[in-house]
Amino acid sequence: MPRLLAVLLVLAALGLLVHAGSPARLVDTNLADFPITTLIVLLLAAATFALERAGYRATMFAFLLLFLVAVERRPAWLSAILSGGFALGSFYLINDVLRVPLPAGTWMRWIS
Amino acid sequence: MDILSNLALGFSIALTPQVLAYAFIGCLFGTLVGMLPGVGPLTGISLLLPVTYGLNPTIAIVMLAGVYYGAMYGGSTTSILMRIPGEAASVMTCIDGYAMTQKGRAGPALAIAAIGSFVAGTVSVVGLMLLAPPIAAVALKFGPPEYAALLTLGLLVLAYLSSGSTLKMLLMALVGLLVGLVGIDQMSGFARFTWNVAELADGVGVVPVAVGLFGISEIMLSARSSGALKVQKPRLADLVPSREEMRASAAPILRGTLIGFLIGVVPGSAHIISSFVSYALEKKISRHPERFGHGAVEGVAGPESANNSATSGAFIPLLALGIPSGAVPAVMLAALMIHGISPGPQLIQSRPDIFWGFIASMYVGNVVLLILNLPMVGLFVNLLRIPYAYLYPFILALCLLGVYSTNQSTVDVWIAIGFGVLGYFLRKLDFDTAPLVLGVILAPMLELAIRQSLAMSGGDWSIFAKRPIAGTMLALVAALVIYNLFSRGWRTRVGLEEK
Repeated sequence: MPRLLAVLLVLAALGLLVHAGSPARLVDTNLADFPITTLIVLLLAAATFALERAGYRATMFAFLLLFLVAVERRPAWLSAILSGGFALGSFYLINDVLRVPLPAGTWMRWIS
Repeated sequence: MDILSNLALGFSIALTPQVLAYAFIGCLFGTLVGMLPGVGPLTGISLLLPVTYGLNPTIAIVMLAGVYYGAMYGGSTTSILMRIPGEAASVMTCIDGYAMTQKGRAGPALAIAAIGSFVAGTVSVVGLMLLAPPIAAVALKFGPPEYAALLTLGLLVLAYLSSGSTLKMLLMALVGLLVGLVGIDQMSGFARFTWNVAELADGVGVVPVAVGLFGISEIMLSARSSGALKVQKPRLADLVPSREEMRASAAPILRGTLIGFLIGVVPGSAHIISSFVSYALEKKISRHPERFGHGAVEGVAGPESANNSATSGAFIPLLALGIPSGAVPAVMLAALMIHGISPGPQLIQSRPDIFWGFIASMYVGNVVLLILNLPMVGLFVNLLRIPYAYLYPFILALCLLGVYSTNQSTVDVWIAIGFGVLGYFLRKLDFDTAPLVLGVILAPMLELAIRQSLAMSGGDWSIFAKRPIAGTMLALVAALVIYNLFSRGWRTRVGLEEK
């Protein structure tokens, strides 16, 4: 099956090359949103890395706070309330009410 | 009589307080995601998927279906009030819906859209109820060769009927099939393409792929789009349409219902295509086609009915054959499989509580949506006043949460981020990513069906041609490919028109 798919993929790619003539190139496309895209990927990657180390609540709080304050330049106090509310509220809903385990984080376990 | 007793069983399940509450939550959440530009029904369902793990399967599918048709309702609100389609199927509603708003008829336009959606939703559920059991009875006679042929035909029809380049669609479906092969080989037990990552032994999950391609990539493309929007808030008293508007809408609603249901059964972006077809038909048969684009109520009634009707039609191949006809039913199939339920011909007989409970819940859901959408429309549009700069970080956080909680695995989150980046570039280059998701879901089924067929025949591929049903379906596949190769339409669909 993988071999059959590989052959079909090569054929489809060749078909696209032959039929499309000069296809749209990535360098010609509008990449005005590329900086924010890079930032989103970096912050998501950092959050994923931290998730099981720092725990869900701390990671989500930091992730949202960074986005709102550093990227979107929103007021720090409002951003902190919204980020904290989301981090704690979603943890309570998913982990405690729906019983889908989320990482608590080493320091949280240590406190409790 | 059988249908009535089964429906009674369904209502006895759908009208329990718990099912009603989750149907309401699904409809409410669906309406909100339908209204928000950049968050379609697929993202909404993917985000809500982890919430369903602790629920029983009937409640899970009832809630997810509520999100699906709720999004269809919600998408019309922003189209009519702000000329912003909340999701793709509402694009046609923008044209005359917004023109009606500019003429001060926003209320009636919203009411007609809600009434049309309600009628279409209810009538098409009757169609689903009557058609799904006989189709499933026929499908029970299917063996692996017939299933392999049916899955191949479904994938090809999807690529052929979707908008845009057919070849690009096929390419995406093939990439999806390839991604779907990652994991333990079902026949030999060997790990394939797992790169020594233990988590990949179970394969690449549908949720990370769907959230990456539809959720994260959408945010990447729209994060810098806009701030708060100016919103018109219609009052409840303004919602009543005139007698003339009601009369003009009646026939388009019925035609839209029929068109949507028929197109919904066929694989592809049914709810989008059906609204385009309905609008074109209404304009073609109208005595005054010049009114279209300037606030013709038929231009709202037809497409809105069609896209809601298509959602019910799309459940027929899913529930009767176990084959999703698009990306949203595909994610719902994944949700059911997580609960150990395999939709298909045996579902109706083995789990009538799920099938008939789901059917009954759709009737209930349509009433819930009518109640939600008409009086509370002024409340909902307030959501659009929230600046997007506040909304998108939370949507990203929900994506992360949804993917992680599926398997409690960060590998899934890395996969979602990877597919988010892939989706960003693919969409920049005009590739539709829906066939990719469908390919990921269908790959294990297709491979298993092909290999079981070959095991039956001792490795002889002619088994697919010798069996009448499989042979006929594969002949259709061949006819479609040959027609595409030699028709002029192929070159235009390949993308030459884009230049």
